[in-house]
Amino acid sequence: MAVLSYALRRLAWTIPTLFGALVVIFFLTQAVPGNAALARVGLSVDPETIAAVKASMGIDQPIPVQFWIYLQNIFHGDLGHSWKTGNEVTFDLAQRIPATIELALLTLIITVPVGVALGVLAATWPGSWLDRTIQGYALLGMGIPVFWLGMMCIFVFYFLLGWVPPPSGRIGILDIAPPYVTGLYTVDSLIAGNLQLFGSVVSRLILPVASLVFVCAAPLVVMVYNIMGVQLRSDHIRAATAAGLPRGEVVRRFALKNIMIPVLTMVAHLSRLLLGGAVLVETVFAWPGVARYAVESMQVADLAPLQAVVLLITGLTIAINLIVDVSYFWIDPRVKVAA
Amino acid sequence: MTTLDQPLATLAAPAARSKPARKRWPLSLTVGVAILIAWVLFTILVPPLIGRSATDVVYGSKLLPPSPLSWFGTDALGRDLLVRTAVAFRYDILVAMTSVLAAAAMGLVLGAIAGTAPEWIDNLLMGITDVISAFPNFVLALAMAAAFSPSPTTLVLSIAIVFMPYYARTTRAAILTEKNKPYADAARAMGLHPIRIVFLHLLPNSVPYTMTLIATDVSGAIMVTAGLSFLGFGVQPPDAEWGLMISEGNSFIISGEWWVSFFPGVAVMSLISAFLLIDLGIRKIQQKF
Repeated sequence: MAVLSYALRRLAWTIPTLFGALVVIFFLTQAVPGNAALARVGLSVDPETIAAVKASMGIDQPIPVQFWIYLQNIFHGDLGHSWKTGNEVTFDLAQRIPATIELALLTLIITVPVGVALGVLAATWPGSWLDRTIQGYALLGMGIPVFWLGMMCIFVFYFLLGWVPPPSGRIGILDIAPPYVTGLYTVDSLIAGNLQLFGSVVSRLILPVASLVFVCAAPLVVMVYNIMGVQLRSDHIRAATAAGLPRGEVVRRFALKNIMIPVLTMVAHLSRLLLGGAVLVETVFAWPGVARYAVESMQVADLAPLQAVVLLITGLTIAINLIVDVSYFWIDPRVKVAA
Repeated sequence: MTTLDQPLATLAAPAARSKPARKRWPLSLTVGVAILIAWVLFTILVPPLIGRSATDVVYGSKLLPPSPLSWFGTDALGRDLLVRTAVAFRYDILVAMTSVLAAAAMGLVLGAIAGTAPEWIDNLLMGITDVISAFPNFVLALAMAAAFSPSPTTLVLSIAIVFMPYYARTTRAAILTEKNKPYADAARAMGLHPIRIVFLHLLPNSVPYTMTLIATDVSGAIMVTAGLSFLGFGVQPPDAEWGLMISEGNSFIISGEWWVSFFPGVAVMSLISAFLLIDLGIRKIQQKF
């Protein structure tokens, strides 16, 4: 019961934040350069046409009215109309969300164990060559621009070695997408029993996912290293060591449990880093996800997709934070007492 | 004689006496600063030594691979990439440092106001920082940079706003502790104006708490600058900026002209690593004392 009431209270907290985010998104997209109507019909049209287009887009209304309409539409599940693709934004998003989810989910699934493992290894044997190598990687991973890493991977693994197909999206031009079940091509192609397609899908996922993992795991390694270092110097670990338990056992059975809470917090932070990085990676790999959709519409001042994608990403971030906060209850019995 | 000299002597060199190791500078700080100095020299010396500017186009020298004639090669317009990489340093460091300083300045002022003003103002300001933190950094900076016409000012402001919440929060927290200390009571007892107390007494004492992240944030700001320019919402052509230069090489990477993007990318990495190393070094020094 305590969990539920805490979750509800925490949920109530997110409402003002979400509203604030909506205000920010709305005003940012209102300020996009170039009159949206002009951008749509071109410069050389008569004023009446422009007025008509403005009216049809709803941008002849005063801004507060526009905001009110915008809010109403969102709560009706209407995210507007993209004049670039000619579709409803919800329709476009539905097509692109699985691509981004596949990329982000795979990255997260690989990043967390890799980052934790490297951080723990380095902290367990501080000063060793392993520690130094991992520290070096962490420094590199935090300093490398993910889009540049992706490009260099394309150069080495596609151009030089020819191990992967060219960066042209989720499947090759001759491949046919698997029947829709989850929207994730890796899963769907397996369900369809099409191993050849599965291979093609995986070969196109490797580089973008690897680039994102390389960049996202680095801050996780640093954080795990720091808290693990503190853990290993704590009294209960010293007691366990003094009792004659082997190092590996001490780390696995005593220290690892205690670092899970900060790791969980870090996962929330990582998802923000990941979603930001996805914007860049999707651009480099011509990945047909939501981030690329937003960037492409931004470039032609198409407002609705931009509004929708920023809202989607921010909503997702807020949701992840909420889930992480609430899940402390399940992991750490001490939180229950405090609440 | 000794009664006077002794305390002074112990004050002057307590650290140096106890352990010789304490006097050593952390290696990471030395390396970080060395990289920075190297970049400053590089950006000053390279253009006059090569004798070309960052935007000079040499006809008949498009997309030349690195060679003794042009060490980093040339780009699709025939511009020398060595000069462009060297000159771009100025843009990146300037944008990153001004935006982080602006973020810190905004955060200090907002935090000081939030820490001392009536509760509703405090709640409002902290609410605003919460909303800003709700966005992933890069996505918000991108949305802001795209919303206004592209210019260095837009770029700096977008990045500054994204990095501001941390400074506002820590300043507010520091002010809340500082304002209950005896010196603050003394200042109030002297009848000083509250605004004067906040900005001349409390704020200077709060600054050290808030500055711990500044080097890390500069490295983050370099990354955001490069990322925004890469997508076309930051520095505009024909200026030389690393992210922009990487994007100019994006279409050539599948045909194997790696050098257009390679060198600017290495440059970004080296500068970010320099700031991360400086941050690491400062932390080590702080831990020792």
